[in-house]
Amino acid sequence: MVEDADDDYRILLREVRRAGYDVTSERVTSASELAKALHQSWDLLITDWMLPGFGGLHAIETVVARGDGMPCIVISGTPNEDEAMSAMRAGALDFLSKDRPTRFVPAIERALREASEIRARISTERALRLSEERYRSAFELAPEALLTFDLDSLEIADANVAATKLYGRTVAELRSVNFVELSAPKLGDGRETLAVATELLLRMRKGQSVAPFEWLARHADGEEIPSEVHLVRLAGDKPRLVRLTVIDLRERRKLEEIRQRTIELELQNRRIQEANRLKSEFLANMSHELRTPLNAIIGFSELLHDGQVPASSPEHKEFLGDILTSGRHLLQLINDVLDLAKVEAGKLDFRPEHVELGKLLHEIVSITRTTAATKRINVASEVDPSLTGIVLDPGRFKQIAYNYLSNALKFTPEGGRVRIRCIPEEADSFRLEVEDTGVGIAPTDLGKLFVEFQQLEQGAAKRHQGTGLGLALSRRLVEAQGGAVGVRSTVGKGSTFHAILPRQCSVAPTVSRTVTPRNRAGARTILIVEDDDRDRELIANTLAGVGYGFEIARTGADALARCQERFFDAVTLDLLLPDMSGLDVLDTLRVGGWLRDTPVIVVTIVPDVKTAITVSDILQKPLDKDALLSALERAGVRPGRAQVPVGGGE
Amino acid sequence: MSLILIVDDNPTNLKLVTYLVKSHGHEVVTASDAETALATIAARHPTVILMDLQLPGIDGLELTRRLKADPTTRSIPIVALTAYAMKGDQEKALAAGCDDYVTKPIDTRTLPGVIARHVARAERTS
Repeated sequence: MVEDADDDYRILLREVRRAGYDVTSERVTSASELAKALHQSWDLLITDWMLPGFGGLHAIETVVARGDGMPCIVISGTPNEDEAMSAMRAGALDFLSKDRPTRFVPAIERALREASEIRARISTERALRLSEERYRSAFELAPEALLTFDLDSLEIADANVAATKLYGRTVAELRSVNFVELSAPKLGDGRETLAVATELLLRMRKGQSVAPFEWLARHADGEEIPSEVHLVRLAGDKPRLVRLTVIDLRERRKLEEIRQRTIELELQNRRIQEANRLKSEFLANMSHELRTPLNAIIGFSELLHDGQVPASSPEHKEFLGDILTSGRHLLQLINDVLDLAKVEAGKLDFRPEHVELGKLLHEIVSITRTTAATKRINVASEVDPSLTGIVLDPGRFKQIAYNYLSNALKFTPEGGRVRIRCIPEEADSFRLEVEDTGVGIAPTDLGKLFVEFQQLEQGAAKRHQGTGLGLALSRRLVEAQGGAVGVRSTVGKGSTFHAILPRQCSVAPTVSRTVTPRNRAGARTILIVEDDDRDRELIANTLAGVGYGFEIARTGADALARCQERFFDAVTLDLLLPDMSGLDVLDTLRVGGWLRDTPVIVVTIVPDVKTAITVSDILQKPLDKDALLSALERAGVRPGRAQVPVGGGE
Repeated sequence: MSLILIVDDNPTNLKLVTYLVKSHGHEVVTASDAETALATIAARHPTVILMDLQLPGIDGLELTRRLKADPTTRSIPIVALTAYAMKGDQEKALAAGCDDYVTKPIDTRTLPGVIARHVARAERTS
């Protein structure tokens, strides 16, 4: 109580106690005493209006300024209207006259009641304000861009700091655009932003929820920002607000990219290491495989050369035979390796042409007839009649089929059975299958089959017979044509190897070739351009042996003269001629028009010939008879038959 | 007379080495795999073994290890005769217990000397 008169204080206390209240009270008379008393918590301030050096108005203002809703009433000795007005305006709840003590208690009771209501309101307001502040700062300082927009007008109502950064616009600028304008015109998946946004908004207007989705936000400078958007309808109907959360995915994308790149690099590294390891292994194997036949060749040659084997002894001839066999094995090995290298470098030629599969299988079976007969193995071939109109490189096909067939014969015991057949696979592919009744392959070994030099240990006597490259080469030849190889096997029962090949091989020949059909009767005549006597004789005998006619030129000049005299169906050309280079001869003949379309087969000791001039084939010396014949056949030059146009012809 | 065991799974090479060794006055037994070799060694106790390292099943390195671990065969000199001639191959052969290492293609003029040396050593120690 602010009161200078102690009597008045006592009267008031008396009235209160009489009403049955037990109160704690204190009387102060100055501003400083009031301030000191207010350190304590009070339920009510009662103040006199007029005090010496102090006033009720000041007391009320002091209490109200504290903002804790502590009620004040004034008890004045000389009440008047103006004082009452200014007291109430300052925040007093009542204004009483000292003359009417009976009114004190009811006034105090009312004041306390009102004060408790006021306090309750204040605490609610404060809680609300706090919650709003918290919400505001959560909104403002959120790391994600947050915006609110009006679902009906589509105007942006609010945006936080992150949003202004993401879009590169101030809040005011954001308010003047709508969300569609803040987006790239097309989304990452190519859909029109406007169409997608319209659909989403319609769904929100219908009260449906929208799952988070990916979006392309647009910065003021035009940069498109991959982002994830969450739409949440806020409470309240007017206006209908939607909270938009835009999560910038650039960082996440970058991390994903880095992670992806890291994984790729690791894989690449592993692949390189594996390739490196395989290359070393290949080299080691290669060295081993070359040394093995060389051991026989050099060893026996030394024995014979040093006269350690009497010429009259049976071993003399036998060892010569071993040298020959080992030499051939070595040649086969080198050819296989070169073919493998060519496939690997993508340099292998495929010369697709119309073929009869039945005929090709027949040829393969004929080649292996002796081996099969020696082991009394029954070999049957079969082609599904529906397989017509096949276009593939017959030479490569035979190489694959031969590898499979000779492999089957190798691992099939005497008196066994081997089937080679072609059956349809898909509409555009067929399957070459070779089935044997051999020893079979353990499941754990199946993976090694088509790998270079991975011969399975199937018994000592057998291992030297192959180069260890046949199946690997077959696999590569098939895969280069877009096909696939495989095998199924039962130990003790036999194996079935297959190759799936396209019915129309689309691997374009790297050496172009045009064959002009000439309906001339009689044998095809070949010009042999070769200065080495032995090679010339070998070629001539080979050609004559299967019914080709031939003429011979020993020098470049000779070759030029003969070509100008007459037409040849094909030419075999040595590159190292005594008077000029074989390629110069060829160039002159091509340019002069004498050999414009004629197939030319280069037969040379020069490894890895590079020429811009079109030739049909390049064969390495020492010349393999079969290679020469199949090269001629590939070129469409067959003995004694009319030539077949290839690739359309005239 | 000394007895030489030649272990090699390649018949042509077996034929070559057999002829060479015989022509230098040794008696020869052959084996084309480890099992046959073990049986032959037990039955005939050869003076020197010429060992190809790539054999079907148990390979030459493993066979050498077994022979060198067995007190009854430990003293028989083993000459590796192999087409494995890459870096590290010799170390592998010697580590397995081979007493000598000769690469293929063999030199028919020097191999008999190598064999004679090991025969002489074996006969001295026995």
